[in-house]
Amino acid sequence: MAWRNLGRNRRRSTITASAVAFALFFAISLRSLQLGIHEHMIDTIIGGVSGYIQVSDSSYWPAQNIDLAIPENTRWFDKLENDDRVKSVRPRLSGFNLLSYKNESSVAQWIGVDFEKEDTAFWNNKLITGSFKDRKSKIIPVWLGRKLAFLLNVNIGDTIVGLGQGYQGGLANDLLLVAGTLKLGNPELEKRAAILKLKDAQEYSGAYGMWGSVLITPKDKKNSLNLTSALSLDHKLKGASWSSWEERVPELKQAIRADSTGGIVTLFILYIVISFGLLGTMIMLANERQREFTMQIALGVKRRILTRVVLIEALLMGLLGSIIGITLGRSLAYFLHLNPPRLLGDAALAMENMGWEPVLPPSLDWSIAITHTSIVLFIVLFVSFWPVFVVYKSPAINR
Amino acid sequence: MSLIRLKNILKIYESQSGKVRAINGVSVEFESGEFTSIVGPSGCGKTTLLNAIGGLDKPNSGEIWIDKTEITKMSDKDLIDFRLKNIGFVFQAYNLIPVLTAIENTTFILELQGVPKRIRNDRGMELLEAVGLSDKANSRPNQLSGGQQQRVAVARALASSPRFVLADEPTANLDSKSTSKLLDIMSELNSKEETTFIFSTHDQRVIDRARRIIYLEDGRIK
Repeated sequence: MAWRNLGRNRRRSTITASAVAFALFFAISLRSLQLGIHEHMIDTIIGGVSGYIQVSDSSYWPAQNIDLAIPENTRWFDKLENDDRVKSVRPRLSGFNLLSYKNESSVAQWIGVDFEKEDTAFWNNKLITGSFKDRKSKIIPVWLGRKLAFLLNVNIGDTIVGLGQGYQGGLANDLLLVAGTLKLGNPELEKRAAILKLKDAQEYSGAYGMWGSVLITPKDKKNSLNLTSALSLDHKLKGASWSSWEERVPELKQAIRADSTGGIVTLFILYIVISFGLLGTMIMLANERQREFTMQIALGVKRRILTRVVLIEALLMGLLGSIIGITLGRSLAYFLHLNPPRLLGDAALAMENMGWEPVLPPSLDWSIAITHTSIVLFIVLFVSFWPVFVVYKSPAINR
Repeated sequence: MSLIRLKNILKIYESQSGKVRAINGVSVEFESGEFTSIVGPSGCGKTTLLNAIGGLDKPNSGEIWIDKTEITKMSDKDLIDFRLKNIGFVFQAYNLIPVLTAIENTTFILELQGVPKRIRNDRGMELLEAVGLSDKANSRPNQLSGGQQQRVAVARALASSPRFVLADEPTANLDSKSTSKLLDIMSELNSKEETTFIFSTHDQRVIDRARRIIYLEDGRIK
C-alpha cells in the first residue's frame, strides 16, 4: 500500500524525491570536491616528505638530531611492510649542514631517501630539472629544493661542498654533485632540503646502518591517527616513538578542519532548508489522508500499522530521491576525478609555487555518499513523524 | 440474551451555544439477525447513537454491551481490535481506500486479521459476486460509480463475517436505482448470512425495507 501511495499524489512524491535528490547531489558534489582537495593537500605536503606515520627515536622529534638515529632493523621493517594496513614503508636519515658553492653558502637539511622503496611517480613529479638516473661520477649526487638551488646559485652538474655534524661527533663533509632541483610543496622545505640517496647519506654522515626515521603510508590514510597507536602496539620497536602527521603538523590539520567546517555549515543550512521543504510535503500528506486515517481506525486498523505504512511511504520517497541524488553526485565526482578542474591565473600560480599541481580532484570515497544519504534519510524519517503524530491524534470518527 | 444492549446512554457535546444532549438516556436492545433502521430528522442523534454502538465514540454515561463485553469500559486500543473482529461499517461517503482495487478493499479487513491470501480472495470474490461486482474486482474506486463503491463498502463490511453491521446513511449519496439494488443485497445477505444490520437513515426507501424501526427525536427514543 505504501508503494501504491507514492503514485497517489505524483506531484508531492516528485517534490519529495527531488528535494532529497537535490540535497544529496549538492552534498556529495560539495563534500567530494572539498575532501578531495584536502586529500590532495595532505598527499602533497605530508605523503612524500614527512610521512603519514613516522617512527623514530622517542627523542628524535622535533630536533631531528642525527645522534638519535635508530639502528636498521630489517626484520621489523619487513614485518611492517607486509602488514595489511600498510601501503608503504620508507626509511629516512637526515641531518643539518652548511652547503657552499663559490661565494654562496646556505644552511640545509640533508635527507637520505631510499629510492627503491619510494614512490617513483611522487619523486618524478617533484623533479623540476635534472634526473634521478645514476651518474658515472663518484661524487655523491644531491637533489636540491628549488629555492635552495636558487640561493646557492647552482645548476645541474655543479659540485657543492657540504659541511656539518655527522653521527656521534663525527664530521659530515664531502663534495656533492647537483643532480636535480625539486618542488617539494612547502616553501620552507624548498629553502633547505637537500635530498641524498640513503646509502650516500649514511656514508656522508658516518651513520652506517642507521635510520633517522621510518615513514609509513597507511592504506587508509584518513585513519592514520588511530592506526599509529594500533601499529605501534602490533610492531613494537624498542625505544621508538610513533607519531601521526596530525601530531607533527597540527597547523595543517587545523587549516583543513577550518575549511571543512565551512563546508559543513553550508550543508547544514541546505539541510535546514530541505527539512522545511520535506516537512511541508509531509504536512500536505497528513492533511490529505486525515479522513482516511480516521476511516481506517474505525474499521479496526491499528495505529501502528498506519504508522508503518506512512513511514515506509516516506522512506520509499527518500530512497528514490537518494538513488537519483547518489547517481548524479557520484557521476559528477567521477567525471571531475577523471577531468579535474584546473585552476587558472594567480590561484594556479600560487599553488604551483607551493609545489602543488593546480588541480581540484574530487574524492571518490563512498563514505561521503553513505554519510549524507544517512543524514537525508534521517531527515525524511524525522519529518515523517508529523503524519505519524496525526495518525495518533486521529479520532475514530469525523466530527 | 440480546446481541447489543444499551443502558441509559447519555452523550453530551459542547457547542458554542452550550451543551447539547445528542443522546439523552437511550436504552435499547438489538437481537441477532435484525434488520433495523434508526430513523429521525437531522440532528436527532442517529449517527451519534450508531457511533456509540460501534465504539467509535464514548458516551458520557451509560453502558453498552455487545454480547458479554461492555465496550464502554474498553480502552481506545482494545476498541480498535474489538471493531476489527466484531463490527462491519458502511459509511455515508463510500470511504474506500483509493489505492486498492475492489477485491483488495473487500478483503482489507481479512488481511488485517491475518487470513491467508487464497481464503480471503475466495471470500472477497464470493461477496463481490453477491453485490454484483465480480467483473469489477480489479477496478480501483475511481473507476467505479458511487453506487458500485457503496456496494464494495458493503462487501468489505461483511467480509470478516462480523457479528453486526452498522450502516450510517448508506444510501444518502445514491440514486434510487442504486439504493434499491444496495438494499436488495443487504436484505439478501441478512437472510442468507444472518448478519445483523443496523442503519441510521432518514431515507424512506430504507425505512420501508426495515423489519424494525427505532424513532429518535432530540436524542430520545420516541
